[in-house]
Amino acid sequence: MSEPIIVCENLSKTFKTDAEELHILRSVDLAVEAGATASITGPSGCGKTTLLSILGGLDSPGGGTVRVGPWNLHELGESGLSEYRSSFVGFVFQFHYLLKDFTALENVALPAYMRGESRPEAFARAASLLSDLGLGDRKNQYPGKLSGGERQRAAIARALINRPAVILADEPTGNLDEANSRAVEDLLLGLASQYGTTLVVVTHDGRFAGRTDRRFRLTEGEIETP
Amino acid sequence: MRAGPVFFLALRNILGRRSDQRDLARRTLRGAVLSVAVSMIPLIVTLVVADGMIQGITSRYIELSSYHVQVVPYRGMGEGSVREVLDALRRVPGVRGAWAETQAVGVAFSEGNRGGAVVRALDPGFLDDPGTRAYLDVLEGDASLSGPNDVLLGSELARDLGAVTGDTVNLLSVRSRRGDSVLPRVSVFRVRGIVSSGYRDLDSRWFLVARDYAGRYLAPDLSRTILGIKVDDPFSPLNTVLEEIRKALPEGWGAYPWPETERNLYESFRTTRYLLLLIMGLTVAVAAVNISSALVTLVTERSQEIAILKGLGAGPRDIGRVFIAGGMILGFSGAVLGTALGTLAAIHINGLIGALERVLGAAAALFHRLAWPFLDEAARALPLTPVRILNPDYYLESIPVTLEYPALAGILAAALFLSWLASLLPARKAAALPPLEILRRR
Repeated sequence: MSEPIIVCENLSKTFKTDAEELHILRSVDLAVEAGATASITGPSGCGKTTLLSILGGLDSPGGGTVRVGPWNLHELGESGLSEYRSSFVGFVFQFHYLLKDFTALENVALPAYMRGESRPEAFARAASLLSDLGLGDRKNQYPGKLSGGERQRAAIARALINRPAVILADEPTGNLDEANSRAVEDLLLGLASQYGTTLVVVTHDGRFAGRTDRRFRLTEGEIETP
Repeated sequence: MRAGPVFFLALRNILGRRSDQRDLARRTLRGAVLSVAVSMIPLIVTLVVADGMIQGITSRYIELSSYHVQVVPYRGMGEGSVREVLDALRRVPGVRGAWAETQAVGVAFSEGNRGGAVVRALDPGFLDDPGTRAYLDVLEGDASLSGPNDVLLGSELARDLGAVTGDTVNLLSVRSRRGDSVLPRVSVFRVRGIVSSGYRDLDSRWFLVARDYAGRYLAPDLSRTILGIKVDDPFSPLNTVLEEIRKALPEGWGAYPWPETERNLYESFRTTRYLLLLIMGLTVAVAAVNISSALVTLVTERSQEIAILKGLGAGPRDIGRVFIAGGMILGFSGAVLGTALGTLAAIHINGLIGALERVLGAAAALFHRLAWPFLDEAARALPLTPVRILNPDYYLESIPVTLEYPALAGILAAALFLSWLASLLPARKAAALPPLEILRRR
């Protein structure tokens, strides 16, 4: 087994409201090896998305340590987290979150272009990636003209464009029908295997979770490993 | 993030492609561009018209009255040295012409009328100079001084004296001084022509005579002789030609360019111009506030896109730069549009003023006709004078149009700076948006 690329130790997260303190994550310990696939399941509101957001550098840990590759996320400031998001992780959301004023090609090329790649190079790689994902003839369509499955495939291509070491997917099949869900599931697992990318997926789908190397269940903010 | 993706994102943010519920931002952005453009029009017109009028007025003064450069001796000069210095000055590269002029004051009178006169005893060649001919209006007779008793009168002085071409007018001058007393001398002149500089203050005093005979009636100790020089381009920097002129002068002579000899006039024009531009600039600053509010609307409407971009790795600084670039694109578009429209209006300013005068004249005539039954005899007897927005007695017959490209570029740069300033607040707001909270809202 290779070294863990994701390590959370004693991770906690608390939201304060006027009336009470909500302990979303309580002393979470978690490790995922490089190149492995992992799933996080659990009931709604148990903190799955919060955990994934912390791993993706979109949210800050309340306590404990979070290390993803060489990045100690609990020590990073705003600009460090931006650099981490653009270079080390790719995010796939439940809702595709493609930019509506940009074509599929532009959406996919944008993270590479923003990161400093030349425009022709970023667009050429984006076009190639879209072709690999079966969207070669749909690349110039705006998100509004794409089907749900096509949008999610474009979002996956966008997450892959900067060749991230880790892909974090939050309910990527949650808005899709059965056939599209299976296609996206196959695609994510296949790409992770093909590129040697670590995949962490939050899902309600037991079948999808069952196909991953590591399975974590989150209940009331605490991790259980089945 | 590099400039390429910043402008790519900024342009898409502003132009977008869709027409949906976010049309409010699009309309606000269009409004911001238009308000900057509209505010630029009076600024550009003011600039062009002020520059044109200043140059027009200044040109008349320096071509007809004060020359481009004046050369004066520190002590008295003999006629021989005047000729030698003039010859030397005419050989200086960039000098178009050089003439001697003797000036004194006197009283002109004719058949019971009189008026104060500034006697200008001119070298005849001055009247043949193209610059003089371009600005000197010959209203009667001809503009030449060949005989010892020829005089050209300024139009206002001729009117005060009731003189026309061919009439005889007298000049009371001071011939010489003995001790504390002065001896007056009356000289008789025949009016060869009546001329106008376009300015009442010059036309009401001008008594132009030939310098060759001025010694007969102007006392050397009560008159002043200068050498007037005209150069090829009086509005370009005069340092080089001035240096050459000073090199050509013998010791004891000084050379003074027109911005020094006409300093009061020049500074007054310049100050007025700056004040006008400052006031007009304030309207552009107010218009730039619209850019700020349009961008704030855009930040609110595009908060989800901002959150997505942050999720993809754009930092707060990057997002801020996208909105600053957007503000500057808006400001630049408005400024270019406004500059184009303003320049167009300025180029046609004389036609526009003429049209406005005709419209106001027609309105006045209509009002006069409607009010006719209610007017008494005295009011009915009053003539209906044409409406003149710029009285040519005090301004110019037409406003010269001068496009100062460096000034236009300066105004564009100032508009860009104001746009940048106006973008700072929305950029800060966009940079501070928390991505996760916005993405969770869905």
